[in-house]
Amino acid sequence: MSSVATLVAQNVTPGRGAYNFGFLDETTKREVRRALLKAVALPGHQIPFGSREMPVARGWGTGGIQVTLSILGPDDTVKVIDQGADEGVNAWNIRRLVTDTSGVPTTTDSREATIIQTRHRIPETPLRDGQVLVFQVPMPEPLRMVEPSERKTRAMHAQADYSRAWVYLYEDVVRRGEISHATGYPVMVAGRYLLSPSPIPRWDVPKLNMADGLYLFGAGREKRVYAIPPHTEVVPIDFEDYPFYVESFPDRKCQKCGAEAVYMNEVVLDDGRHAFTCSDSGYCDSRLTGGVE
Amino acid sequence: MSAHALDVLGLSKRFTLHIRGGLVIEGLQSATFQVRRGEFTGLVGRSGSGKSTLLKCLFRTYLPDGGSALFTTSEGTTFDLASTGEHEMLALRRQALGYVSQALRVIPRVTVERTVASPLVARGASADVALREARLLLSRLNLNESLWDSYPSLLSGGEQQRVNVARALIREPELLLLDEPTSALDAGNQGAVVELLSERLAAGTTMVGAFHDAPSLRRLASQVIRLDGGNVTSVESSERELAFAGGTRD
Amino acid sequence: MNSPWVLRVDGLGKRYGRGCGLCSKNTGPLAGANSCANCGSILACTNVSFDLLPGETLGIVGESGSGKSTVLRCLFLDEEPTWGSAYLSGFHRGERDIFTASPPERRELRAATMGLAYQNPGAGLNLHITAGGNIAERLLNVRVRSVAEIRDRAGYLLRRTEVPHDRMDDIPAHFSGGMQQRVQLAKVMANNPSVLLLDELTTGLDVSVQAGVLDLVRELQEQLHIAMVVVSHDLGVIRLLAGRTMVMKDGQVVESGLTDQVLEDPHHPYTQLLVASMT
Repeated sequence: MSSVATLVAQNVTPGRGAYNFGFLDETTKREVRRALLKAVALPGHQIPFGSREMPVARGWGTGGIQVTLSILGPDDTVKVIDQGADEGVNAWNIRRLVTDTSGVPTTTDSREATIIQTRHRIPETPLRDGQVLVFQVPMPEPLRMVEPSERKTRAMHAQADYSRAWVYLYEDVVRRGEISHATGYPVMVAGRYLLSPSPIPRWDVPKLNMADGLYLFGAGREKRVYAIPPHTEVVPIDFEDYPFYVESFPDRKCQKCGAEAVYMNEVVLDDGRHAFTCSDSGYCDSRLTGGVE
Repeated sequence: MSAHALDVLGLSKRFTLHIRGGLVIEGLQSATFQVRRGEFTGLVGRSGSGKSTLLKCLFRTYLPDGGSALFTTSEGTTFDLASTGEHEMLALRRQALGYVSQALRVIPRVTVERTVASPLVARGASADVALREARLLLSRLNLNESLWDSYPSLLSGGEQQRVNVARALIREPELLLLDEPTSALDAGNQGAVVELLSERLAAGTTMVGAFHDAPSLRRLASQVIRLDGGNVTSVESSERELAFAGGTRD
Repeated sequence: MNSPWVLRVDGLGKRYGRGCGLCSKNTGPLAGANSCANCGSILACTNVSFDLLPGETLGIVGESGSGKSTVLRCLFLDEEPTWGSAYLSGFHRGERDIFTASPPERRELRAATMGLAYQNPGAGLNLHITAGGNIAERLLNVRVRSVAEIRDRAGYLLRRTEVPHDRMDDIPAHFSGGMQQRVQLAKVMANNPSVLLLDELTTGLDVSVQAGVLDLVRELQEQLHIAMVVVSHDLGVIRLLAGRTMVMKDGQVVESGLTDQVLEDPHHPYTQLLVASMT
């Protein structure tokens, strides 16, 4: 056994010993925090950073982990979700890495968390002032689908030249009669930069606009961080006659908690019937325990 | 305003053929003459005597080497056709100059009536108006109506010549240059062209031209210039046989 | 003050390489080369100047390597010229050299003020997005944000260029060369550019297809009175389209004049050879 947990358990008191507080060394954290400060100062602009090797394979949230560990302090409470669920394998492992190397408490209730690391969802309960949502980002470049060259996409961002992203949507409308782009819907941030919000469903996109909390995005493999600061205008790109819309779940109720206007997962029951449950498991749980209306 | 629409002084043209070892050909040597407004000056001379060279120098298809050709418009502005700028020359060609060559240079895949109408369209006329004018001219020149919407390249030489005349006349040029415009026409059709030209003369158009037949020239010309080997050998006034279109000899 | 021209080019030149004191002696029609024997630099074009009036078409003729396409690429801001300046009446009222334009201004100039149709349609089109999508890119560049409006305009342009309406939603990769070229023309016309630059538009097309493309360009001239610079090695194309013509050889303009004058009374030995070689 050579999992991080066993290594850490052998000789680490949180904050001391073989591993520094929050796994990363202070110099690395400082570099990441500097990149994040730039990212907050230039909403939507991708900032390069020297992504480190992490005890998780790249593509499994290493960008989000480095952001989380770099901003983590002893007084924080951390929540980690994977597609809305606290119980996903990826979420479990990341949570274990965070607690084992820092000793900070974790929670499944998004209201109690100061830092929430997420893969592909935004919690149903809106962020409040002071909360930070850290996204794991597989593909930070919203223009990559139309332009393979990094040099060219950088020039396009520099000149706010986004017509080709709109062409992509136009082609979508022509082929499918609607904008079918389901996850990671591209948005304009503060009227300046086009941003990929990571593969969150459309349902979550409006939550990015004029939020009270801070959104940080980390892409470990692609070595980029970017941010949407609180109270920033975030507008999905669309056409006047084909406007952006979110998924609707008419007449659907969470099988467990009875919630209606939330993002649902479809589950197939043993008898073959289809049912729906809240995608945000922490939200669902807190409704069941009576904490949330 | 000058009574002379055209005042040619010492106009010269020499060709240097580099691909034939720098062979020099004297096309036109110091031609000097005047043309009164609204009159026809006929050019006479053997083939190769310089008639076409002179006409092409006036239209600037050839770039003269020396001398001047002062053209004064009816509005009183004078241009030296031998040296005025390319843009002015293009504008003059659009507005005031007409040139009828022996052979029609057809624009591929444009019908007869549109070929004739296009100079008017280029000058801003509506397509309808231009087409109406074109058809009028084509019928005056006895071109069979069934040919109007076919391509000029399919026409006989004589039919093409009439298309060419119509195309030059439609813009009502002030100065019309004619290079044997009836060489392929039978007597009847020649008559129609000459008739049309004498109408235009009466209306004030100035013309310089060569005709392959003496009678046409006699009917139109009030001055005859003889050319030989690129030299003007004589400039004589001539008694016109027809004072005005359709009229009798007075 | 309004300028009489839509495009003015003054002393345009492009050198590839560092250049040396002998470049101007070692290149040009007299030297018979466009590359300097001393330093190896290539003087693709030097000292090209002309005015283009509204509605006028200027032809540039010459063999490959004469520098004629470089002139177009510099004007379209694909290449950075080494010397010279160019002015468009639609850019700061013709008072500012377009080569000093900022990157966003350049994008605007390329999207809305000028259009360049490349010899190879693949250079001007994205062959893997639909014909309509190619046109949409131009319109989106000037902030049209309605699919209906885009499709109206694209439909109109494709009709003008005689591309069947039912091909609008197909990708040009599946089109014939002639139809690709017509789609490219529709695309460059999308925002009503004031100057159209055509680079060997018919080269490589079948003769019968060439005819259709040339007819289309003539229609654009006649009906839209759009100013054009037409680059071709084919004197037939130049004669059909251009009122004035410049002849280039080894990077330099050896002769210019009214097109019929250049063809019937060529002065420069190279032009005489060119005309004599006409079929």
